[in-house]
Amino acid sequence: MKHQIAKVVVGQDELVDGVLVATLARGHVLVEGAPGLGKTLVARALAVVSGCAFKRIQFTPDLMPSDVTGSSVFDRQTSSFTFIPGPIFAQLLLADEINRAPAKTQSALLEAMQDRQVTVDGTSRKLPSPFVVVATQNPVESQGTYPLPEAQLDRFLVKLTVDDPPREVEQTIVRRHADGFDPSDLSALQAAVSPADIAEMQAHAQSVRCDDAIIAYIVDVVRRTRDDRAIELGASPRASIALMKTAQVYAASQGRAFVTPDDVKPMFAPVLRHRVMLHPDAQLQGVSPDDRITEIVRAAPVPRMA
Amino acid sequence: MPRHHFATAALALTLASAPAFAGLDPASAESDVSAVRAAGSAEFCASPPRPLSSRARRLCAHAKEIPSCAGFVAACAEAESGSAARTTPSSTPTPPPSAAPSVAAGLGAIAQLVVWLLVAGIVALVVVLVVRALMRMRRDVALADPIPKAATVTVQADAIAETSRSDAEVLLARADAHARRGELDAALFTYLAAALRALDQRGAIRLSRDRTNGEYVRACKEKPSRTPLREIVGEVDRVQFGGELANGGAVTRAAERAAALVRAMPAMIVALVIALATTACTGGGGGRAPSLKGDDPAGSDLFVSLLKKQGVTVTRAGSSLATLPMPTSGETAPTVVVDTDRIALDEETAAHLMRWVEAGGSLVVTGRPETWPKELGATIRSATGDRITIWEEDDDVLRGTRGIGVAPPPRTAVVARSVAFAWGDVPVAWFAEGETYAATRRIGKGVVLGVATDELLTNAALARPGNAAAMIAILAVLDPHELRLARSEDAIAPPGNPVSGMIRAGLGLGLAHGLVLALILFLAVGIRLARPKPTPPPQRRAFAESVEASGALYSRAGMASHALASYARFVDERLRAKMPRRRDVPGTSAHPTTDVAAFLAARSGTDAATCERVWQRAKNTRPEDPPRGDELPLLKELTALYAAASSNTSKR
Repeated sequence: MKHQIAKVVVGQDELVDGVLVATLARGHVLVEGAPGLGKTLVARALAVVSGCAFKRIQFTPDLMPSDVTGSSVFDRQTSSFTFIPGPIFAQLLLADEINRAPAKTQSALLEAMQDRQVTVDGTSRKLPSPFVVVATQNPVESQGTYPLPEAQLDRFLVKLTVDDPPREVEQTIVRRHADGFDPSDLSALQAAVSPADIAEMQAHAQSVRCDDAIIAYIVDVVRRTRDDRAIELGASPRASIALMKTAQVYAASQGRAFVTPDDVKPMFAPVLRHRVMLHPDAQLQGVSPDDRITEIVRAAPVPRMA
Repeated sequence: MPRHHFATAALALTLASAPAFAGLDPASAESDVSAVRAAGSAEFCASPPRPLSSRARRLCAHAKEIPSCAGFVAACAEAESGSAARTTPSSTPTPPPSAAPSVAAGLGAIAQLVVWLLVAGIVALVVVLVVRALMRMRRDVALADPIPKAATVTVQADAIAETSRSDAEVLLARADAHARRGELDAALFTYLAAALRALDQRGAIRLSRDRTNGEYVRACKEKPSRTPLREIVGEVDRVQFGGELANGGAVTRAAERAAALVRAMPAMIVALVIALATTACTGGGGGRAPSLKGDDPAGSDLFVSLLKKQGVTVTRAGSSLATLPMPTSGETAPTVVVDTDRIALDEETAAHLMRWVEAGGSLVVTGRPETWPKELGATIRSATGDRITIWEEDDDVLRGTRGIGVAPPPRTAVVARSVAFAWGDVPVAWFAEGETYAATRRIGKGVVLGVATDELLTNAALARPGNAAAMIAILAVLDPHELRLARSEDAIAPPGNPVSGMIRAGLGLGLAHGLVLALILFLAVGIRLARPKPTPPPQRRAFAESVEASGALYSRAGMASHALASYARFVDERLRAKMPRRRDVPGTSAHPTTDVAAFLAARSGTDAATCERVWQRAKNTRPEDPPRGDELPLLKELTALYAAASSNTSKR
């Protein structure tokens, strides 16, 4: 899959890895980055490569919940209401600029993310499987946005940050466009797997052994986020579960049937960075969540030997 | 016989007044020398070391006069022919260049190149070690562990701490022991610990409790070590996290890889150590091994043996001449022999030696007069001829008393070097023109016998017929019963400290190398160990403890009034913030919206008089007021009222 995605996406290995890990761990991804860094392209490419149905919602302040979930429309011929599914009925949903929609609409989406079903007019409808939401938000603009509350951020399995590409990578991107690359045309990509394959991979990842020492390590780090002075609100037990799941996927991707600390460590930042709320003093001092998570991980002893 | 030689007889008589010693007998000296040579104690005639040393070559004048000394004669002939060839290259045809010198030259060039490469390698190694240490310091600062919280100390932390403390070889041996006992899991883990420790010692990785095994592999600076380390890590991870049981094959593989990692000592370090050790031992100089069998023509073995035959006790000085104990009255001090051609007296030693002579010591000083202690005031003179005449007490004083009628011929000796000196004292031996070869000089209570050269102490000169008797006759002036021969190391005052001692012993270079090596090791390894450990954070006091401590401080400082006033202000602020507005508190006649006491009474349910009393007392207290003694009970009352009022306020 990575090989296929690399045909159109250049220099975003971390983003691609994170999205793949979240997909196989049955989670959702929040991507934070400035416009024009390839977030949408990665999501579309992943959809093509995984053979999943792809939908995109551009979140705006006037977006209504029904615009996401769908609504029942009266059919004059049958004199009954017919449910018209919204774009959420997709396997890979790109929620672009999710923080531009009001809280009501965000909640509709986030509820669907959690329960993997949509209830409209009293009828619950299952969402297709796999169901992965890739939400993006712009870290710079604050006017006219509705920041996601911490409780809702917690529903995203990982939060990935996209930085500006290095100079060489940017030159390569421009060169590709100069050579005729059209990002809207992904016909060069082929489906590497099917949704059924993804479901199978998800099941396999879930069977990867996670030793008690690894679980203790995960819990130790997560609990340290609650004791850290610079963090006002630490990560929840859901973060511990997310860490374990992502580590299982990472271990499986390395061809191992068991999780080692090497599988857990790369997952700390993506899983925890949106789950901790910094103390205002720390924010004023310019401390970022990643800084604190790095320090916390450094302070936590790795399970090594009995 | 010059007239002033009578003074010598007077000196001899003076010296003869000392305790009698009837040992030295010039008449038997020649037979003694023959006996010694026959006993094989002087091999210089048979097999002198070739080529001859410069000192030995100067004695070649005696070679042909020594009976049965063909070896020395041949060696001298070789030396002379070689010298002639060097001085007159055109007189003899130069042999065609053979292959040996060219090979030697080639080997020399290669050796020089190797030495330079070694030096360059050592310098590069030093630079690499220092730079690596500096980078490690920076890295350590960047990776410095935050102070761990008390609750997070785990067994794993102890294990990694042990890994840091233990030596890699020790861990390897421990792992082997585990493996022999069948404790495969423990063996596997300990092999990994040994490998990590070895790599850490070599600076390839940096042990830290927050690093995973995979990070160690990826961060290992020794690329060849990554593969074996990765294999060990794989085996350990399978057992520790994969739930598999360790098997013998895995342990064997881990043992092989760990041993390879632990015992991979960089060859450059070995070369450095060897080079340093070699340089330190040689002290940068060379020298021929001393003669042990009397085969050196310039040696003094024959002199020592002759004196022993004469009944004189000959010993080595054994300690520095600067520590010679001063002779006391009634004590017969030994005679010390110092050959200044071989021994360089330092100023301190020379000064002590002179003080020792003044106190009654007897000193024989031989060698070039300009190298004698300055206090002796000897000046070198040129002499003619090679034959010297030795005064004997029988010559002119004692002869008459002994009733000998016919004067024997004067005792003479032949020397190769015609060196004389002017001393202005009593001569004992002189050249034909009267230049002094040996003389005595009284200094204080002691006496010094100066001999212009050390020739008569050498094997070759003494073996020449007549010379041994002459030397014994010269020494007989002092009538020594014990001679102490000074060695070169005896001419140096004992060092004031160990460092100067090592420098004097020629170990200065080695010491410097050792210090540099220690500095390098400190920069590479020790600086990390020497870095002060972060002090644990002070435990946070519980709030109650903090309050108690503050109270105790107030109490010690006698600031009860200050405490009461401060607390009253605090209560006033808090209660006024909670006081309702625009309506009165039911059940009170006062104005609780402005009267704190009334508000307290209303909210706490306490009677108004008590509240009024407590509040007025607290409110009117000034911080600077002297304590009355009721502050603490009052504070407790106010605290209780405030707590009750706050509680009731919040409920409402």
